[in-house]
Amino acid sequence: MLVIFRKTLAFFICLAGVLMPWRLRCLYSELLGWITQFLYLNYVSVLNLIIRELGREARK
Amino acid sequence: MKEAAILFSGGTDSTLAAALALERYDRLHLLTCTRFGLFRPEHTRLNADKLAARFGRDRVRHVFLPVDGIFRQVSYGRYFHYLLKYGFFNLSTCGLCKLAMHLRAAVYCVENGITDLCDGANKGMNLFPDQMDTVIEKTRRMHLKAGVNYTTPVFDFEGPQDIDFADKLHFEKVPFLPSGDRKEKEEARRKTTGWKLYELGLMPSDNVKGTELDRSMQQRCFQFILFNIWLHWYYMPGKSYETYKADSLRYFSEKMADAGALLEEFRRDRERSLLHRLTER
Repeated sequence: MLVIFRKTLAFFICLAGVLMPWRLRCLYSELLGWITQFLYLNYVSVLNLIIRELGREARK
Repeated sequence: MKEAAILFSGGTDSTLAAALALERYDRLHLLTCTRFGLFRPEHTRLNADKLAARFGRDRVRHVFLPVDGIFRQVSYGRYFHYLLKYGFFNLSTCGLCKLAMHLRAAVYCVENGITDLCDGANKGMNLFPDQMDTVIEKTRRMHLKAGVNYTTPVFDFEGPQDIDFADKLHFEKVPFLPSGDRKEKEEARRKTTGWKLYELGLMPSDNVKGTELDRSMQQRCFQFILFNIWLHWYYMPGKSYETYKADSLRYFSEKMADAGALLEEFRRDRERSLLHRLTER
């Protein structure tokens, strides 16, 4: 189910990208990059926080 | 005087390739390609300066080459044909960008009488088409059309051992989790580009990939994101790496044939050629 959702989402993201002229495609990728970076950094920060707390608890 | 050129992104792989080339050649031209969508080209000066300080300022020449026109031609030349035949493969921006850089580098080499060119292509980055051994072989043949001998001196070096997402979380800090075979990890570390750079005194540690320093020494580009979305979410599910590699080779073989024709025309007609007109100086 997740694969089908991802594939459908990716299809529309890529369809928009492949039809764009090159400068617009660059800006579009840039926008996707910032969104990805925002999500990734949040994800990493939360997981790092969990690991730090686990480590602290284990040392107690 | 023995001279060579290198496609220089400022990252660890191309810096090591440059350092190895400087052991073999008297003078090295560091070619950093710039275009719309690649930000902060001045970052590449950091390692260029380190190389100049380490090997001699008169032996290193760092030049910036805009590739906007060539990149547009490489990505959008005969676009309708490519779109119908290969579909979303046309989003392989990283491979197409590198192809544009190779074309610009070949023009630079021809204009400056340089016959040897190298770059920091590395087998550890084999999802990028330009770093696949089969595509590299095609690139080598394309360069021969311009009389340029293209090599990849750091191709067989290992990539860093902890570049995965999970590694960056530093699980070893959690005492009750297993940390893996430390001895094996230590041995693998010594085969990386980072280790060699550290030994040469060009990097402060043996693995700077993904660090703040890494980000501050090369250009920033997010266009791989669109490529990654296509590759990991749309194309790869249900397919093997071998299929992807074969499809990439098919797509890039045709692109290289077009690029090779541009190079041949440039060698023959120089100022009247399309490649010359596309080359910003």
